[in-house]
Amino acid sequence: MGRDNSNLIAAACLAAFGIYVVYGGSKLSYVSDVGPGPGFFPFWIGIGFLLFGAYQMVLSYSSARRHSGHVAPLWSGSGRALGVWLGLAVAIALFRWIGFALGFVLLTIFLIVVLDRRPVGLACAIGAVLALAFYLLFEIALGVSLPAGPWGF
Amino acid sequence: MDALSNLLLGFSVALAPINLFWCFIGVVLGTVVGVLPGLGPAATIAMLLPLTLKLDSTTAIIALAGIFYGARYGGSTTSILLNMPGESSSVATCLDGYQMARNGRAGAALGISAIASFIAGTVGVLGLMLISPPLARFALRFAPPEYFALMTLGLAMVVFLAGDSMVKALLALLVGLWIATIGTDLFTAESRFTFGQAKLLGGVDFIAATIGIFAVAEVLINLESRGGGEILKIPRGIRNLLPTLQDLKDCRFAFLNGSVIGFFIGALPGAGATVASFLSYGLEKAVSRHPEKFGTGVIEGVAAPEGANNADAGGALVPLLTLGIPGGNTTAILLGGLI
Repeated sequence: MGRDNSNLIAAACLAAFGIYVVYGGSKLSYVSDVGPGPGFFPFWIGIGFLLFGAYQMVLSYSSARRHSGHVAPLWSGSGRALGVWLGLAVAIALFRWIGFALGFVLLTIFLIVVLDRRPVGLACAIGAVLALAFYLLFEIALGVSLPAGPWGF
Repeated sequence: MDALSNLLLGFSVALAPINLFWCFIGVVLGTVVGVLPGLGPAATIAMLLPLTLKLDSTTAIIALAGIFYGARYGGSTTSILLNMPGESSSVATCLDGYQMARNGRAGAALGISAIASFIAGTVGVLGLMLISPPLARFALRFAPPEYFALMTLGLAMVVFLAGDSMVKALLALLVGLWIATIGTDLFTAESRFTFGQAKLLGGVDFIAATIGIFAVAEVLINLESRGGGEILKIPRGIRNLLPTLQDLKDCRFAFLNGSVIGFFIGALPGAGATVASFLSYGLEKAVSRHPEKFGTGVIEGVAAPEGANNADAGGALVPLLTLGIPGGNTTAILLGGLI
C-alpha cells in the first residue's frame, strides 16, 4: 500500500518557505513613521504560509491514512517537466552570454532531442526557424531588442 | 439641448470617413498588441504619440483610443487559445476560456468575448457620455481606506475561485502576495527579497509572472504526458465557430455584470481592469445556478470578465476627460496626447 505524498511534500515545502519569509521579514523594520513598515506584511505572510502549510500537511496525512488506494506518482512525467523547467532556466541564464538566437536553438535541441528523443536534424531546423521568426517579429517588426551574444545576435 | 447638440456634433466628427479609417487602424493595431504578451497598450500608445503631430489631433486621439479598446479585447485571444493572458486584464478569461477551447468551443469563446466586449464597451461609452461629471466627483471621494477595501474585496474573490481546496487557494493567494512584496518598499525605500539583484528592485513584472504561471505551466503539463499531449479540438462547421442563441441567452446577466462593474471600477483612479475582471467573474460565479461548473468551460465565465475589462476602458476615461486625472498608465499617456 502506498500513498500520494505530493500534497504532503508541497505543504511541507511551503511551510518551510514560510519560515524563510518570516526570517526575511523580521530583518526589516516592523513599523515605520507612517504605518506598517517593510517587514510587516512579509512577516504575517510568512506566518500564513506556516499555518496553512501545517494545516494542509495534517489534512494530507489524515486523508492518506483514510484512503487505501495506491496512487503512484508519475515520476517519469514529472522528470520531463522538471527537465524542461531546468533547461529553460539554464537557457535564460545563458542568453546574456551567447545571445538569444543560439540559446534558443540549444534549448530547442535539448527539448526535442534529449526529452522527446527525436532526430537532431529536426531539432536544429525547428530551432533555427523559430529563432529567425522571433528575430523578425521582435527585432525587425516591433523594434524590441533581444539579448545579443558576442556575435551581435 | 446643449448636451444633445454637443452629442450630435460628436457623432458627426466620429463618423467622418477619415476618423473611422484611423479608428479601424487603431483597433486592429490594439488587438495585435493585446494578443502579444508583454507588449501593452501603454507602450504602443507612447510610441504612437507622434501621430498627434502628424495627423489632425482629433483623428489621432481616436486612433489612440482605438488602440486602447482593441488591446483590451485582444488579450482574450491568447487567453482562450493558449491559456496565456495577453494582458493582465485577461487573466480571468483564462479560467473558463481555455477550458472552452479544450472542449472544442474555442470559436464560441472567442465570439462571446467579442460580443461581450462590444456590449460592455458600448455601455461604457454611454456611461461616459451621460454620467461622467457626478461619477467623477464620487470617484474622487475614494480615499486610501476605500481603495484598501476594494483591493481586499478583489482578493476575497479567491473564495469563489477556490474549487475543492480552500486551503490551497489561500496558500496560492499568499504566494501572490509575497511575490508582490518583492522589490522596494514604497514608504521607506528598503529593499525586500531582492537577493542583492538590482533587477528585482522594481519588483516582479506582472506579465512575466502571469506567463510563468499560465503559459509555462501549461507547457510543463503537456510535456508531462509524453506523446499524449492533448490538442485543442477543432470545431467542425460554421455553427460551432460562433456562440449559439442559447449561449447569448445564458450570458444576459454576464453582459450586464461586466458592463456595470467594469465601468464603475474603471472610473476609480488606480483600480485597474484586472480588479474589474476578477470581481465580475466572482460575481458571475456567485449568482450562477451552477457555480461548481465555473472553471470547466462555462461561457458566462468568459463573457463577464471580458465585458468588464472593456467597460473599464470607458470608465477609465471618466476622470481623465472630466478632471484631467489619469486613472492608470495608459490613460496617463493618453493625457499626453490630449494635451
